[in-house]
This record gives sequence, C-alpha cells and structure tokens, in this order.
Amino acid sequence: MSKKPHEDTKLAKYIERRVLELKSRKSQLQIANEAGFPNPNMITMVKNGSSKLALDRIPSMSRALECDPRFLMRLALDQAVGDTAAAAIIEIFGTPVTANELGWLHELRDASGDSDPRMTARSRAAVRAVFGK
Amino acid sequence: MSAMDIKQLRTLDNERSARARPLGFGPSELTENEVAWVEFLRLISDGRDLGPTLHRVQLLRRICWK
Repeated sequence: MSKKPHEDTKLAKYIERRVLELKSRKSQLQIANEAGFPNPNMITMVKNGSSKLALDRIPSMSRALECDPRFLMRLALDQAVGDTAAAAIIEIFGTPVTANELGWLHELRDASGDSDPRMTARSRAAVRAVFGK
Repeated sequence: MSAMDIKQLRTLDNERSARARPLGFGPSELTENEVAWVEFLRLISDGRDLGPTLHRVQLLRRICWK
C-alpha cells in the first residue's frame, strides 16, 4: 500500500499551493502553530498526502491558511470519506458555498439587473475567458 | 409535539423538498440558474476558491452583457 494514500487529493494539492503562496509572510512552522498542530511536521504530512486533515482542524487550519473554511471543509470532506460519501452528505445537508462564490453571485445579479441569467454556452465561454481557460 | 403535528411537519417538508432545486445545494435563496453558475465556476477554477476581482468582473460584464 502507498505510503502517501492521500497524495492525489484536491486538499493535499490545495494546501501545498497555499503554503507556497503564504511563504513570503508565514513559515510552515507558523502555520502549524496557528492551526494548533503539536507536531510541526503535520503540515508536510498533509501536503504530501501521507496524512489526512482531520475535520475538526478545519476552523483553525483555515484561519492559519487565510482561506474560506467552507472551501477547505468541502475538500477535506472528499478526502475524509471519499467522493461518493461526500456527495451523499452534501446532497442531504447542502454544499458549503464560499464567500467568494457568493461574491460572484452578487456580481452576477448586479451585472444582469437581477434577471437570473441562465448558464448558456455563451456565458460558459465568457467565464472560461475570465479565468483564462 | 403530537404525532399528528410531526406528520404534518414532515408532509410540509416533503412538499417543500419536491419544489426545491438540486437537493442540498447551499443557501436556500439561490436559484437553479445561480446553482448552475456556481457549479461551473467550481469546475473551471482548478481546485481553487477564486474571488471576483475588479478585472475579472469587468471582463465578465464586457463579454456577457455588452
């Protein structure tokens, strides 16, 4: 069995990227301290996928990583219970919508004059262009 | 609360669910179209939580509502 069973998860990749983004302001040791990990190596273990991120660490970890806890929870849920079980949980309890996503919806409402625009092929192409995809 | 009350509440809840858009998607005030927008944003944002910057919003307005 792989020694890094979670290495291909979205959460591991996100944390690796986020730690890198914060590098100029905050060390990995600081992030571990702020997240409340007694073992500073825990961040490395989560980053490289050898360990899961415990769900009860999401609030402190999101503060340490300066990211939306709902976003981190969504990724951690996938990692903790697997895609299928996470989808079932979300189907029943609802998906956590992040502040950024709500921000987009606010802009969308504003730009469309609250006309509730449909997601058309044209709007998909527009969003792809905005994100350079 | 009586068994009758609970039954009535369940019926109301089921009726509401039947009318609702995709089960369990975020705040209840989102419309079906908004859910589609959020789902597409997630799909193309490559595992990130990207916010609406001024540049992105201006670009979106220019393309969608020119």
